[in-house]
Amino acid sequence: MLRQIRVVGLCLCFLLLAEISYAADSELFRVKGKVKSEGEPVPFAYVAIEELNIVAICDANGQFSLLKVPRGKHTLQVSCLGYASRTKVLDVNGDMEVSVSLLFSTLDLPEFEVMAKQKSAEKVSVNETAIEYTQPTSLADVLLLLPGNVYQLNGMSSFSQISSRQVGTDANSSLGVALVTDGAPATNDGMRTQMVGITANSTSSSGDSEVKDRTGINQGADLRYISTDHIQSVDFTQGISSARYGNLSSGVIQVNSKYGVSPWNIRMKTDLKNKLIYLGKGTKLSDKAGSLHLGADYLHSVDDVREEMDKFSRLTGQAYYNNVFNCLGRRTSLDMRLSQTITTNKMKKDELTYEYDESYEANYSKTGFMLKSKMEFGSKWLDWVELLSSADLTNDRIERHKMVISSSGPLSVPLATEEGEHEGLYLPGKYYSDFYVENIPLNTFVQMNASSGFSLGKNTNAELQYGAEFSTSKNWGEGAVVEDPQRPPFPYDNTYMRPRPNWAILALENGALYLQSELRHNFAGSRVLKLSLGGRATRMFNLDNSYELSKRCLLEPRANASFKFGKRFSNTFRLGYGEENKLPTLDYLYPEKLYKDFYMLNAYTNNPDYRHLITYTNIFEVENKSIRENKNRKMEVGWNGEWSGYALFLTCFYERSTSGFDYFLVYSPLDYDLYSTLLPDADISNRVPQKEDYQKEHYQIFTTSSRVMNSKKTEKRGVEYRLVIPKIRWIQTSIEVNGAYYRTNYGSSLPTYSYPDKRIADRPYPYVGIYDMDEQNEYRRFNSNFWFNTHIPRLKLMFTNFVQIVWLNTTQYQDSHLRYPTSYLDLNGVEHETTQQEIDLIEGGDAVFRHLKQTTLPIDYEEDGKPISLLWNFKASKELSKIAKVSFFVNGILDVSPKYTSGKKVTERTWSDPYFGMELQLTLGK
Amino acid sequence: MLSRCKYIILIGLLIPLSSLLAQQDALTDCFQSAQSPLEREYWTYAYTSQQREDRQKWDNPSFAYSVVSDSLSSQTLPTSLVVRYAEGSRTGDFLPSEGAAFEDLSLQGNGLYHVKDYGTLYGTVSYVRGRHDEVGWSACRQPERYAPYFSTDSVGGDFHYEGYAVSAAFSFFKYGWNWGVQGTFHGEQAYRLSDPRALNNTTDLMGKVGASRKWRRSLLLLDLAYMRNKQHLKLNYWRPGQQDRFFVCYGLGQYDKRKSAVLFGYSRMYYIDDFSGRVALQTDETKKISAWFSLAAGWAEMDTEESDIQNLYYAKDTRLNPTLRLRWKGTSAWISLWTEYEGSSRRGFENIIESYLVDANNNIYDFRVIDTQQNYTLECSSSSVTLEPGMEVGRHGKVGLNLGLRYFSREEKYKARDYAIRNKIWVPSVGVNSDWNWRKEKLHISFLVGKNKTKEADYRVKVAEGGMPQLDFQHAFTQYAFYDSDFNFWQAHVTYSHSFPKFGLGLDVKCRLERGERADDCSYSGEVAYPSSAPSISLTPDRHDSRWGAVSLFVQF
Repeated sequence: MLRQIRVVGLCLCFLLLAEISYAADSELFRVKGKVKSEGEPVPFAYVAIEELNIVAICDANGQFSLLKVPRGKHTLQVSCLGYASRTKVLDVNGDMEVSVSLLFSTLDLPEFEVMAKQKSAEKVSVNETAIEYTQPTSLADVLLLLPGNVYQLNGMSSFSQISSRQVGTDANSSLGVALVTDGAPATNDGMRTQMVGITANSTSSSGDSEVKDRTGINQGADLRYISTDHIQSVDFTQGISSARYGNLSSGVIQVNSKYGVSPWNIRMKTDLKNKLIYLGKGTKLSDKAGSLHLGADYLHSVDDVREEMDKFSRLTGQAYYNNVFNCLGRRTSLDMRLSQTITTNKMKKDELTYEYDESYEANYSKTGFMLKSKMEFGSKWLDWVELLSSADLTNDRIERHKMVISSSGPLSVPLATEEGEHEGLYLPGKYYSDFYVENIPLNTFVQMNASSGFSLGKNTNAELQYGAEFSTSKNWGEGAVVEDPQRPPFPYDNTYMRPRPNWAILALENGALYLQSELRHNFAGSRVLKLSLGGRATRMFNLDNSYELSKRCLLEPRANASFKFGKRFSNTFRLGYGEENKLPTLDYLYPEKLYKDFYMLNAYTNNPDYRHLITYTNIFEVENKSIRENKNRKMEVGWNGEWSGYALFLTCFYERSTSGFDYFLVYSPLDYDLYSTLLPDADISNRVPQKEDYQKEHYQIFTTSSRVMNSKKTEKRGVEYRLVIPKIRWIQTSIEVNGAYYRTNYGSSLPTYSYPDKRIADRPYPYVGIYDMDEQNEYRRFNSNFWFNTHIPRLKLMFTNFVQIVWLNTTQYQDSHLRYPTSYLDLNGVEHETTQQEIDLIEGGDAVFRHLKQTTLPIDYEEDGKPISLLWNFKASKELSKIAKVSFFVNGILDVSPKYTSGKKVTERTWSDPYFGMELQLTLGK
Repeated sequence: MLSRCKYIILIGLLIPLSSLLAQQDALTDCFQSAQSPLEREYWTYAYTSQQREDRQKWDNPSFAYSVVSDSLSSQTLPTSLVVRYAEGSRTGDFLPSEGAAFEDLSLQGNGLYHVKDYGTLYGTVSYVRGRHDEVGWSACRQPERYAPYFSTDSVGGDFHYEGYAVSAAFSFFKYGWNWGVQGTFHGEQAYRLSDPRALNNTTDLMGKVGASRKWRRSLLLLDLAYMRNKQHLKLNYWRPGQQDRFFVCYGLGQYDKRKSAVLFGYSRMYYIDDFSGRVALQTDETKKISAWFSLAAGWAEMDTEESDIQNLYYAKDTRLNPTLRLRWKGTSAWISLWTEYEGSSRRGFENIIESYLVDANNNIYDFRVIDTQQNYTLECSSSSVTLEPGMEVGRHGKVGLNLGLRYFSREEKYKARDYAIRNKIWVPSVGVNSDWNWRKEKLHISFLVGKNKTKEADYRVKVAEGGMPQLDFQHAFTQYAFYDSDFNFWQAHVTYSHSFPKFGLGLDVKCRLERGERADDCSYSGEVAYPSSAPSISLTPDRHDSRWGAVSLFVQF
């Protein structure tokens, strides 16, 4: 029913938009202009009327043309690499020409933007100066500018999940953040790592933390690999994103690369962990040939200086070509980007400290290419058409040399490839295992976008953006390869995989159509109603018909509405609803089977000649053909108030996802013949024992396996706020207070299995309880980040005092307090519903059933709340001359984290260490 | 004690009054911070009385505006960059907790920007990498700040460190007074690569406000400062077979047995809150006879915290620092008398902590403080008097003589056990200095020779027969022996600078040499507990030699 409503809704939108097509465009005008600096034209500047989504790039002579600008007052925004952004209010009454002067971006200008800006109702933008002022090492450092985020130290040696409107992080939210670079998605969905001990698809309790901590399979983009030195601006959408962007569930990070003309820029940064150097230059090739911006940076990072052999290096380079010219009589822009990222993450256990010579080395190389061309038509029906294509090839190889020690007795060599009984071999008690994981995903993306703008009368205009896209992701790597299969790296519970090479796995192929319409109506008295309606239809191709997703077209309606009124005191009320779908990754779609060896006969003796091992191999299919997309429903309502430079933004939101991906633990019964009791007359002292020497016993147990399921439930709700106070002259300081109250619940949407670790009459416990207790962990946090930005142009000095106060920070385990299973599974695989009779047995202390009662101590429900804490960060930039700028930062210059009594009733305190560094920036030439 | 505690913090801003521009050459000294104990000793005797007075003036952030606005219109003074390499080592006796060999390379930028009728901003930013080698029986950096509460192990090693510092002050004129605010941050990460590996994150944050006013050509200066220090010490990795116990010491070799177990990961925090203030008065400098008087006082509290959030120890410090300078200035000659007293007193407190049952149902234990006792004291004082006659030589030169006498006393006690160490020292010194100032070139040469002579020494630390082994040799006797020595020292300083049309270039060389030996009767007669290969001194009298040198290259834009 809901689906039908959605389809009808989308049809109505199309009808509405078709209806308006007759409207006259006599109220739409052309705005031409020129961007200059010190009398000279500024080539390739970005010119936009953001509120109308009208964008243009200047040509080599600084000239631009904006099409279909409606009558009325609009704010023109101009920005260019190396220059201070400029805004100009246009009063459009007809075709017009304007001239905009830009000034070089220096600290002696009266305005110097260092904070994130609200670009539109759903989008926050961070520009070049704000990024530079952050003194970042990677894109992760810029996230602190967003409301609701709290300071954290971003290490480079381990993977960090991206959080989105939540307390803490989770893999699904991180996976659901779409990283879009110059319009093209940068995806990790084609990565696939299937090996017991590394993927979550492993019942092995001793996974390889050296690998797991450093890699982020199924957890989205790795921000460590994104150098900020190539970035001109970043736009963040945490709420309901435009329908143009898909295959996401949490938000969008849009990265816009540096392009155009700039002097030589050298940046050298040192802090306690990182040493970084960047070199970049933008050149105008000629008036007709466009510009080329080249940049390269190198980063060396050691997380713990005492571990010199555990280090991370990153080398990135980027070439960005752009040009604006006339093609077939139409103004056309052409952008090309070629980028290269090479990282090496090496770890070698220090022989002085560790007895064993273990090592880890991850080499990552990504080559990306993007081609974008936009042609302006300016006709009645079509404003522009854009063709965007990108391809990137990643070569990611992890090599591991690992010591395996069996502390729990003899283990078996994984030999079997078929289910059933097999002769086994014993593994040595101690050996080195070498393996590597190779991923070579080739991602391609092509998108055609078009826009049509209409006037629906004097005060109403509409813009339609629509397009189609197709993306593929094919992994050409070998996958996980154990160099000697008879020496497995994680044999601890006799569970193995026989990984297929990644190249044998089908490619991910996704296609989508979208339509995004923006309706704008100006009422009298500066009242403006904006309605953004979007819809997106996505389909996964190249999937076997047995997959449920192969037959489905996924629809994602997205709507934002705002109403703005008031002239001096401007109010904007916002409302939004959207559905966003994250599609399963290659790793989730094609997990490997699990092979589990159970000992039928385990006759281990000191004499190797008399040992005999017979195993029963069971194979578990963990592939889930009915896996679905992770759908996240978002709702938000907000209000902005602006008066004389003061601004307050409030957003209340609610997000719910009950279909997050997870390797979900399931229990299955298993029976096989066990030979463990020697027959009374058997003598095996001088020969190899055989089955016949033992008593045959029919043995039944439960065994576990992890299946990919849509089982994760995440609920996010909260209020975000931003208060902007303009510069207070006498202290030369502007203030922003931002923060959020977040309440995030992480749980499971499926009943969970629990198996009592008991034996009854020396046999394994016969039941697995299935509990629908709605277990979840609730996190609450309320924080305020105070940014005191002091800018003294006369002294060419800028410094920021950042004070973060966390007023509330709690964690609490919750469940439905239901102590009994809703059903239970027996050793024959039959699931029984729990009746009053079983409950009586449980309560009556029955020797078997009583163990199915779940017990949670009252102390486990206690809320663990930390007291109010304060953190003070400081950063400053000082221009020494026209060519040199020195910056310094100290994070945690002061912290107040009082002692408290935890939920476990013991005294605790959170310690944090200050983190500091400095950088020198040189600007040479023109 | 005062100087020892603060040696690593930025020494401060030292720009002689006579001519700011001329003194830009000597910026290596102006904004330099001592990077090693040997450099700290160099500075103890290197300053002239004029430099000492100027240091105290520039320590007040309000002072800059008045002095700069008197001499300059709105302009930006040259920015300078300094690259420095310093190296030094001790032979024979040394303080194991400080190390025996030192090396550092630093890069420093300095600047002063004055906007007429608005204010003066000046500051420095620096980065230093270095190492302090052969450190033993202390895993802390700058251990004298936290003494006697050492965290240590029996291995020791070489500390590598990386330091970042920034200091900025802004001064302005309002309501007839000059006002100033100053912020200083110094952060250091130091680590040891020998097991157990120590990692120390040490930071100092200081905020200061100052006010000054001219009154009938006299100058009154007032300032108040607050400093917060924090050190987080982490020890990881130990190898079986090493005597690498993690001793938590509390004075004269005693340690907490319960907290000194061998642990895989060990973590401890130190905090210092320090308040200080100074009032100073300068009489009319244009008169033939002028005087400078200042009185500084400080109070500090140091707290420790273990990784289980128990704070076992804390200490309270008080400091006093009065100075007086009298100067007679003729047409081409002058004479100056400088007297100074620096005194500090530390009292250490030990918390008695008990574990108690919080929740009987869940068998949860927490801890609480049930008593506090005060046993440890450390008294340090230094009194000095310096007489400096000087005269002009021709149109370009000045020469001066420096006759000094310093009396140093150090007394450490633990009253519950009647332990005590006392050292008293006399240091007479004599030096000459000359400055030559030509049109494009400047030259400074100074030389000083002194003698460190023990006046009194007393060692009263005796572990009872059959008592628990103590680190008295490592933490009590080494301190005592280090001060109970007679030695001669020589110091030299040469600065040369040349001005080019668009920039200036200079070279600065400093060095110090010590030659002497421990007193003949200063031997350790007991049995050393926990003998190990950790760097330490010999039980019997040994040499007391050291050498230190620094070369700086500075450029002005």
